Amino acid sequence: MNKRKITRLSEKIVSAFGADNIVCILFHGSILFNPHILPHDADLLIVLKKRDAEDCSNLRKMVRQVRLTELPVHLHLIYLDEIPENADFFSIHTCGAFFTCHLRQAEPLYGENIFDRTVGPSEYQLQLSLLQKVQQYTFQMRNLVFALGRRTENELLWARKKSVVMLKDLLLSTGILLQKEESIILKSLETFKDFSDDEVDFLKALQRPWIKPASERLERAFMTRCLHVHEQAYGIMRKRISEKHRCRFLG
Amino acid sequence: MKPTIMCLPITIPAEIKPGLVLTPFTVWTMSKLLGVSSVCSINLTGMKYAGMRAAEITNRYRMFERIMGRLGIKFDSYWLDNDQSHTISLQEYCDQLSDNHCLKQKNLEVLACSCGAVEVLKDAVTSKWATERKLIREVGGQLQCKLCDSPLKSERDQVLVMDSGFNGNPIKAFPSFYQKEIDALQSEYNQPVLVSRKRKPGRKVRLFEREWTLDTDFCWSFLFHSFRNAGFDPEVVVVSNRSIKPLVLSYGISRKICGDVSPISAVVTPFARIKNSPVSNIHKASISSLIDRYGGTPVRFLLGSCLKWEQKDLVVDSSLIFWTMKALEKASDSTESTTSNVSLPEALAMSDGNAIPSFIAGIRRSEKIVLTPYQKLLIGKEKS
Repeated sequence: MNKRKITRLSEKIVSAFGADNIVCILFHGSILFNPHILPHDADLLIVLKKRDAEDCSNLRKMVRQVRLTELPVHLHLIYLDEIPENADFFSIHTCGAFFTCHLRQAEPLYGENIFDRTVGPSEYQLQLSLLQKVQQYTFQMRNLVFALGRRTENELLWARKKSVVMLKDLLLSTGILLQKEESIILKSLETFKDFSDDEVDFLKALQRPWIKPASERLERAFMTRCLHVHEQAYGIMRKRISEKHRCRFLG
Repeated sequence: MKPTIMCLPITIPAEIKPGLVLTPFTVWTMSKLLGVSSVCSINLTGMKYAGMRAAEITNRYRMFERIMGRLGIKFDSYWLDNDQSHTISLQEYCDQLSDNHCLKQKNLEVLACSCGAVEVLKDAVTSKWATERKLIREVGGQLQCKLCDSPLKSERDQVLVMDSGFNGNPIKAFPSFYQKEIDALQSEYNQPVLVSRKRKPGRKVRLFEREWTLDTDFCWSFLFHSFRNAGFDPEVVVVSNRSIKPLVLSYGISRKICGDVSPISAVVTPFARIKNSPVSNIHKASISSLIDRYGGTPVRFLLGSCLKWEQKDLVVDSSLIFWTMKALEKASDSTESTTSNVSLPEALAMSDGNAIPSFIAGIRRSEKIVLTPYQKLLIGKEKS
């Protein structure tokens, strides 16, 4: 349903910006790969050839006017001359070089996926960018567990989602790029034997439909188990990095 | 009619490995170098798709087309063996063959298994021409189907057979060491070919006052004729060295109904396997996962390095991908040679996979290099 709406939005963008000016419109993220899971936003990336000072505000107006989705549209606007041939030099937000691999799996709603024409990333930049992402999620997760009071449902869902994303990043560091949550969990448990029995049970339970924990105590327990998964994944990542890239950690 | 380079129909598996892409990759590069049209033939019928819905089969084709696009490979046309313009002509093709007395109804003994994968004339089962040989094994003096393990049972029945006799068809092999094999196959192919099927599903025709189900391989074998009907003149056919038999068969069949099908050149690609590297599992990877990880250009280099024309079977070291990436990091400006279209022997020489490491080394040294038309295709400078 959402995907159909996103496709309509992209058609409107093409007619507004002109087919000649658009390199591609890419659809990625959870609506595409995990439509059964409640999404936070709809991820869209637009690559334009020519720059106009009004591009951003025009896009904003269009998304607001059209109101095609109930979800916020998470939109990235990139100009062709901003995309480096070498993927080592590309990042979006806090996602470094590894993100090019994800974008290559995006669905082109218009044009051809321009990221297929870039090269890399190199093994070193792939590992480095994944390590940084895993560090970011782990530290964010700790902050959530530190925080006092009840957690909002969005925070709980964020923690759930990022527990799987940690596994996805871990798998990508071994060269396996999966997008479906179920496959990510199964493949991770098959590939990495470091998870404890409790963590394995928790990860398997994540595949079941989402039910909000019924009390503050259960919410805290849920968040703590998410944190355990994060820390375990970060630990595996550190071990891999120190073995393969001579990066030493203190302690 | 447009001079054309083509490949024999490719059956598309659920996951496409680099080896499968080698033939279409060669069709694309050669078409650009020779300046002729390119057609990629796809097999969408047959046992490999058994049990799949029409939409799933179409999705396989779409996936293949998408992967080719991601590699920067675009053909002038795709030819699908289930295309109506082809299937609608099958009755006419069979009528012509029966009018020429090439297609006959006979009462013969057929060996068949229970799953339907094997149906072969008893007299032809030992022939090296029997394409089903790869599906048959002998256990305790008894022939068995490798797919369903059932013993082959003999049954005498009315069948549709085609007289072969493909001797003297004009096929010129590149590399030339395949010429002897092609000539030998043409002159030795003197077995009647079973073209009707009882167990396998397939297209139906009416001949000799009854309906027959046709073998799917026989159906696509008229492709040279269908190409001509569509305005393409297939001058060059790219086949892997495991597909020389189907080439001789299909070209022979097409010439039986249309003697003026042009002489062809057969470019025979080696059989390549990718060797693992210490840092990844590239040898097991599908082509789309390689593109996801490295982008289209390094994968084109990997494919290019598989084309070592002097070899029949070879192993390619996957570390070539890393060297390519390292080289492309340093790639300086390049100039392009002014060469326009080249001859087939020149195109083969230009695309020799042995030259790729020195090309990569040249880029790494940041030399100002003059790109040949083939190198332009590899590096992605040529607009596809």
